[in-house]
Order: sequence, then C-alpha cells, then structure tokens
Amino acid sequence: MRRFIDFHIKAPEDEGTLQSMLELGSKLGFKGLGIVASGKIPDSIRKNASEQGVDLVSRVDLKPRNTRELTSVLRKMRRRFEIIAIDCRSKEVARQAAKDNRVDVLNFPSSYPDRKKVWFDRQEASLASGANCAYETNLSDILGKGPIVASGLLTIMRDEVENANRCKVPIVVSSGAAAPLFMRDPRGLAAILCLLGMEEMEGLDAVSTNPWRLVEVNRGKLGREFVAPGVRVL
Amino acid sequence: MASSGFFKEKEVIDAVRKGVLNLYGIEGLSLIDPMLIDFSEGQKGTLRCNTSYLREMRATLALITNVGGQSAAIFVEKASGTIKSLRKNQSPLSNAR
Repeated sequence: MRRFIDFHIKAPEDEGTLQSMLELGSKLGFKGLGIVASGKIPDSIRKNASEQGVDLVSRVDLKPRNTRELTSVLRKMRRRFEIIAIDCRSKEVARQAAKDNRVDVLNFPSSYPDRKKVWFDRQEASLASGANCAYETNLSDILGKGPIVASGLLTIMRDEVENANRCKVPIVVSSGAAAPLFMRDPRGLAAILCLLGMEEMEGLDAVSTNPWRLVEVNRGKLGREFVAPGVRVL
Repeated sequence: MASSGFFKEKEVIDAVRKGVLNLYGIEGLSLIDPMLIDFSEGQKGTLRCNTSYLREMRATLALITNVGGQSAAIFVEKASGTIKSLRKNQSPLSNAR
C-alpha cells in the first residue's frame, strides 16, 4: 500500500490552523507532511501528528538572492532540516542549486512572467540529475489563477516535466498549501500530473515513493552513524 | 467539501461543470459527463463520471477553488465502479467538513 506525503505545507503563524491542516492531512490519507516552519515545529503538533500516524518532515524553503548567499545559507541550514528546498529566483541561483548535492528540491517561480525566465530547462535538469536534486511542482502555483495564466504555467510545467523525465530527475508534486482550503487529496494531486503528460503510476510515485526516498536518505545522513556517503559507523 | 459556507446541489454541480469546461472544453465535458447523484446537508455527495476519464475528473476537482462565489475545496473520499460498494466502507473524511 502506498504511503502518501504532502511534501510542501507552509505552516501558518497560527498554531490552530496548523493543527487543523494536520488533521485534514491525516483524514485525506497522508502518512507524512513536509512542514515549512519559520521556527521549530511545536511539540504539541508533533505529539498530535504521531498520535494520528502522520510523520512530520522538517523542511526549509530558501530564497537566496545570489550564489554566494546560497552556499553560505546551505552551510548553516543543512544539518538543521531534513529537507532543503531552493526557490530559484534567478538563473545563476538555479544552476548553482542544481549542482549542489546539499539541495534536495528545486522550486521555480509561481508567477508566469518570472517562470518564463527561470525554469527547469534541459541544462538545469542535466545538472540536477548529477546532484540527486528533485524537481517539485506545487498545485498552489496554478490554483486560483485565471485560465490564460494557468494555461501558460501548465505549458512551462509540461516542458519541465519532460526535461525531468529525460534526465531521470525525480518529480515531486505537492500542494504548497498555506491554509486547509488549499490542501488536496493525494490522488487528486497525482491526477494534476496527467495535465503535464505523466502516466498514472508516475503521478502516484510523485506523491509517495519519490518524496519518501528523499526523506529516508536525508534522515540517514542526519543520523549520528553517518560519516560520508557510503560510509557509516556500525 | 471543505468551506466556511454551505452549498446547494446546483452550486456544486455548476462549479464542477465549469471546472471541466475550463480545463477540457466542451468536448471534455461531453466525454467526462459529470453528474451529481446526491448531495447531503453534510456537504458530501456522490459524483458520477465516465470511468475512462477518472483522472481528468480528479484533476478538475483538485483545481476547484470556488463554489457559488465562496472559497471551497472538493476532496475525493472514494472512487468506485458501483454506488453499492461506494457506500459500503466510509473513510475518515466522512466525518470531516
């Protein structure tokens, strides 16, 4: 049986809202939620999550302005969070992030004019493939947008998915929700990928196998026994 | 459904049809052929569609953000080939609003 994970939940300031998102996530059938929190996830939330059988994954979305800032912030953050996602705001940052194997997930702008400039092109996909970065697509990027903007974004995303598949870059689909109303059921998220030319099983992998693999690898790296890739203390 | 408001059956099916129309056009709407079989006061209903286009139906429902002029989200609790098996086992979402 598949274990679904919504890899990108933007934790609201209000703890009550986060609590209701957690409950809704559990009811929708998610076994994991990737929480982007400004601070530490409150213990009450963690306790509630474990009672409901939901695994919380700590995640940070970094928005570096240049490559120097990217490397410095990666050095600080890598051992503090299980998942590091880079919001690529410029081509240089995107290229550097795709090369750096401390980066787990690549995100691209949700606004159509910005996405036309910075997107997951073939070179980016080739670099990401070498560094084991995943390409993430967020449902929130297209939710609530008008048909013209949404269609433009879908065109770019379709090309991005094609590039990711060509270079065997893992694809992750998430809600990117900042409120319960933006959350969706796992099979609904996977179905969005049919708009981007993906098969049903590939879509389901993008909400289950692919993100869990990243989490497991990183949890292994954050463990005490980890020394270097392929080397661990027994 | 999740929302702060309550909806009538007509508002829901209109939102679903509009969603299909936006995403797949007139041809898509005729092929997917969504129809709301029932809709209760608990804001839960049964939607029928052409099974060959189940993924397209799911994608449409995932993209709906507005029903009857109010912010809303539609979740799929269960999909099945028959209404009988659909009503057999209720998921935890049955109690959620």
